[in-house]
Parts: sequence; structure tokens; C-alpha cells
Amino acid sequence: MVIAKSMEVRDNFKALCGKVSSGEIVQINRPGKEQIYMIDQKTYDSIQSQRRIGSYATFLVGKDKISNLKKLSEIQNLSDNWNNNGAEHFSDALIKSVRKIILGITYQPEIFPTACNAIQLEWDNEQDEYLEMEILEDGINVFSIDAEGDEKQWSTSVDIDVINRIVGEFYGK
Amino acid sequence: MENRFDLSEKLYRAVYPPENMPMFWKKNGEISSAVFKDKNGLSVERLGDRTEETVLQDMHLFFYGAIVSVFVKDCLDCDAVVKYLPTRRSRYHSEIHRSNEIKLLTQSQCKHLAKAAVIL
Repeated sequence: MVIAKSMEVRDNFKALCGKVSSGEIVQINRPGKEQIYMIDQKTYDSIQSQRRIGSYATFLVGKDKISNLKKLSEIQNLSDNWNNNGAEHFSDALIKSVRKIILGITYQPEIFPTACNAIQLEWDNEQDEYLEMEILEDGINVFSIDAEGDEKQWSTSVDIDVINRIVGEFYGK
Repeated sequence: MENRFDLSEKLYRAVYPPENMPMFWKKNGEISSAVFKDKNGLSVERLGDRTEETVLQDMHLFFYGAIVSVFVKDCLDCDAVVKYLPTRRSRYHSEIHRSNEIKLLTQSQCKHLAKAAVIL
């Protein structure tokens, strides 16, 4: 990358254009720590294409789902002993199962890793109620707190329809 | 140090992984109860005979991420058990367990602690 000041660009515009044409990126430093870039057609087209793919993916899947899928990737990357107390990395089967849930459910949760071989999904609604699911490889531990503070805990199977029904009821739908 | 805890004694928990702290932060600014789930026992540092400033300094010798605190009373309020378990690394090391027999806290206990926790 070539770094130049505005004045240098003015004085050497033709030479810099030549460099850009051959694939070089020129960073122009402007007053106030602002930077602008000169790029060639190929780089520009590539950026536009990635933007279109990104916005199409967001359109298709939804912003919250994309955000949760990204976080799930971060969780997948946690290695053994990530909590400095012997927590194991998450199995491919569990990650796959949670990915399927994220893609299949209507109301997106917030997701968190746990050091008990479960990935946790949480929902909060406007009535100050709380719903939590610990997703395990072989089942789900559900926990809820209603507006009066009453708690419920039960277990269920990893089934998108069941999850959608529980979450739908939580949101009063 | 005594094996017993005062209700007003504070317990400090380092939030792992330190390089990715926002992982446990909720959109509403609270921390997730997932922070308190550890099948090997929830490790904490007790205040003991130190000031809070010293605790944080000591913990930051080994850890550079976020630290949260709860009171011993918060643990007892949800029927959790606080055990003093000093190690070679720290004579203040303690653990919060579901009961005398089971280490992993219940979902309810974790949520209770998450609500009570103060982010330092």
C-alpha cells in the first residue's frame, strides 16, 4: 500500500494512477485523521460484489440470525480449557444442532457458551419475563421466570417445532 | 484464614475467555447467567483480609479480563454453598457449589447470581 498526503497526490496523480492500475492501493491521509483510498476497477467490483452478497444474506436470513451465527462460530472456535478451569471445546454435533435451531426459529435468542457442555439461549420479553434453554447434545434444559417471579424448569427434546412453540408462548403468540 | 464466610463478604469471579469478554454480555447490559455455569465448580476469589483494590490487583496478575462480584449472602439466598478451597496459586480461592454434594449450580441459582452480580 502506498501512503500519500493530499498534496502529494495532486503533484503525482498520473504516477499514482499507474500504480493503482497495477493493483496497488493508495491511502490518502487528509486533515483530521481522515483517510480515503484509491483502488482499481477489479478491487472496486470485488467489494461491491461482497457487499451485495452480504446484504442478500442479511435479507434472506435476517440480521439477528446472522449475528447469532457469527457468535456461534466464535463459540465453535473456543479450545479446550477456554475458561481456565478445564472446560471442553464444543462438539461439532452440538454446534450443528444449535446452528439448526438458530436457522429454524422465529424469535432469535442471545447465545452464550457454558462450561457444562451446553450452549445457552436466552430470551427476555417486554413483561420482564425470562426464558432460557441449555442446549445439550441429547436434550434441552428449559428454565423460565414469569412476571411474578415464579420459576419453572423442565427438560425437552431438541426439536425445532417444540422450541418454536415454547418461545412463541413466551412472546404471547 | 477462617473456613467460615460472613454474609457480607464479597466473592470475585473472573469472566473467561478474557480476549472475548463481550461473549457473556447481554444486549441490555447485564451479564448472562452462563458466566456462573461450571461443572468443575465455580471458582471465585474471596475478599478475605484484603481491600477490593488489592483483590483486583492480585487477580489481574493472572488475568486481564472482566471481573464480577457477588456477596456470600447472594449465594446463600439461592441455597448455593460457598466452600473455602485454597490452592497453591491463591490462598483466597473458593468455589460456589449447588450443594454439598453437587458442584454445578442450577439454572435458577445461576440466574439469581447473574442478577446480583456487579461488574467491576
